[in-house]
Amino acid sequence: MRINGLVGVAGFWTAALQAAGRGRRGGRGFCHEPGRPGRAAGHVAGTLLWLAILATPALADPQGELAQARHDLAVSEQVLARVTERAEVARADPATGPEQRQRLDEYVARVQDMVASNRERVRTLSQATDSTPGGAAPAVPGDGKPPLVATQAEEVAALETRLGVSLADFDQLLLEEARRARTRGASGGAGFPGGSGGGAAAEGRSKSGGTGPKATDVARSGSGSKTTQGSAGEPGSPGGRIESGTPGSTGATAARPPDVGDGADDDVVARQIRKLAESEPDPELREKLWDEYRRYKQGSKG
Amino acid sequence: MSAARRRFRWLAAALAAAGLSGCAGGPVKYTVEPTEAIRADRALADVALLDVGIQVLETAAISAEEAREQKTDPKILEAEARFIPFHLKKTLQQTGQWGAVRVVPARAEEVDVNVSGKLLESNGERLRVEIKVVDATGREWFYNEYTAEVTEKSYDVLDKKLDRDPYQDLYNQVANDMLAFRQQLSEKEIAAIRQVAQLKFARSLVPYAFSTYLAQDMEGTVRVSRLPADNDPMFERVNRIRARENMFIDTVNNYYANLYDDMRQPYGQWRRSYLQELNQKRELERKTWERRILGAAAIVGAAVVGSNSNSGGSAAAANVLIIGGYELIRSSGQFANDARVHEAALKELGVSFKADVAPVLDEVEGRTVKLSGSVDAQYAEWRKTLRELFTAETGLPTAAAAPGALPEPGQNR
Repeated sequence: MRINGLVGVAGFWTAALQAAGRGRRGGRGFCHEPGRPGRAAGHVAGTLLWLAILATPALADPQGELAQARHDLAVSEQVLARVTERAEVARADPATGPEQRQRLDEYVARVQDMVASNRERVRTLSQATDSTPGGAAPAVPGDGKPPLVATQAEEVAALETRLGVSLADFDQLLLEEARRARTRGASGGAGFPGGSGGGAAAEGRSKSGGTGPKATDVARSGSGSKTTQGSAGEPGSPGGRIESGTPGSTGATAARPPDVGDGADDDVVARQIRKLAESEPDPELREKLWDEYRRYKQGSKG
Repeated sequence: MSAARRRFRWLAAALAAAGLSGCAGGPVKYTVEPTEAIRADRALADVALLDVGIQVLETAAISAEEAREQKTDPKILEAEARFIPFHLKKTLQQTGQWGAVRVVPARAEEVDVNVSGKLLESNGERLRVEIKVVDATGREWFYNEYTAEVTEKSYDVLDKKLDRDPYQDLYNQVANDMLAFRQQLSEKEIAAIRQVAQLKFARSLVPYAFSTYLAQDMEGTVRVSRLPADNDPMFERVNRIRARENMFIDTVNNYYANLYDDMRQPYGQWRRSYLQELNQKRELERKTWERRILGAAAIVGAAVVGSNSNSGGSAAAANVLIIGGYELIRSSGQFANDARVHEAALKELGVSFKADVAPVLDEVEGRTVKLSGSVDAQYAEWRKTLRELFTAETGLPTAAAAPGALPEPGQNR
């Protein structure tokens, strides 16, 4: 019973990640691969997703089946969050064409359907379990949400995924803020009206590379990789700290795609993104950060 | 700083720490002399570097009336409370003696070295600040009050486009005092500070998992009681979040950098103009009093000459003295009027600079508050997820993190 459930979950994940991976590898952002192969891959992935769900045999134990359904729902919600996030990034990219946008919308809609279907499945099973004598759902701990998974490993994996998605959201928030600060710094922002300050301030900024934010250090203490902590951009700034790595992490070199160079010409924001990407153990998030890095570098050159 | 002075400083600091000083833990007062910041002559080893968090300065709560009297404004003080730490950050970075140096919007116990302070007086002529430096273990490095005075010539640095402030000596002195203390520390002590900072952050985020890793001794110093395993997944997660915390502070520092860049030149010009106006006002006041005294002396002299002699020449001299004295007193009135013009100009300078700085400051603070709100919400979510992970991995309850539980010491979010 458990094995069948795991097969279903594994199929689900494989299909979802393959679909996401195909889109990403095609270029910047999500679902960027032009032409029919991308569409076919999407259909195949979608079909696999449905097959994975439908092929999961009915579990003899209603509680176990309900737990499995909840787990599937949780995982599909995580996938939806991730897919939606990538879709937003791709939509914001001017290079994304109308056809790609349409495919993107179709794919997001499919995943939304999948989530809705899983919700319905959970609802149906919950009702069935409630109506079964002695089959009341177990007590809901903590936040009032139902238990999502049945094994410790699955639960930890689901929570790790949730944490990873949350960290990615946060990275996005900070990257946008850093970009905004950079834009503001370059344009002079509110500035000092009328006085000599505006000109002088603008001069000061241009001296610092026009980035506005200066002297920013990214301390990376954790997640394993060796990371330089310093203050480039400041005259005489320290060389920085080399954090000791923690076991199990991927080294910076191993995690660095060949096309991103050595980052010698990075400005403060690019350096932040690069360091986050180098130290991110989650390959999905790491790839996303590298995409962000490439996009940023391209934007800053333009 | 001479060896004798340093010894005195250590003694004073020790007495203050022991509560034996007459001022019961108050700051040790110094008037800053010309000094250069000591720079590292080579890249320091990893083990010697400590990260520094400089808090936004406290400012004395003053009324609008008091502010007018001091030719400043609460908004200007707020801006200075951010400008001064940011310039100190730049000074520390330029020495090459430290790791990451950041200006932090609130108290940060989870950073290796925490610098806090209070802005006591700031104008074009004098800067007076209290600075307290404490490391993550709770050890107080020093608690000093620095006073620096400048002349109009000090503002020449603004014309040279140097990355220096007219009060650069004060910043250099703080940097050198911090360095002097750090150089007393062994590599082992420095490593301990970094470990404690890291574990304090872990404890603040996941108290039920890391509260036993730190202990406090009788003196109140925090020490590492044990270290997490190299492959501790929870510690790795915490470190991933800590990296985000640092990124958040870096983002806030980007805001401060914008404020600093926008403010630096007009702030310097404001202070320079302030000092010029002040000096001119003082000069006129001095001339006013000189003429009044001379005029009064001439009239008194005329009275003495007139009363002691009946000759025509003496009478003429007395008349000359009276006329001269009167003229001196009369002309002093003109100087007094001119001095009042400069007094008004000083107030106007403050009003004008406040009008300039307020929108930039409001923008920076608005963004900081907004981003802090998002970060707080994010931390709540991470805490919840980490709590669930802890329960899932260990099967242990997380009573310490239950809703309503008191936050751990140093828990900043």
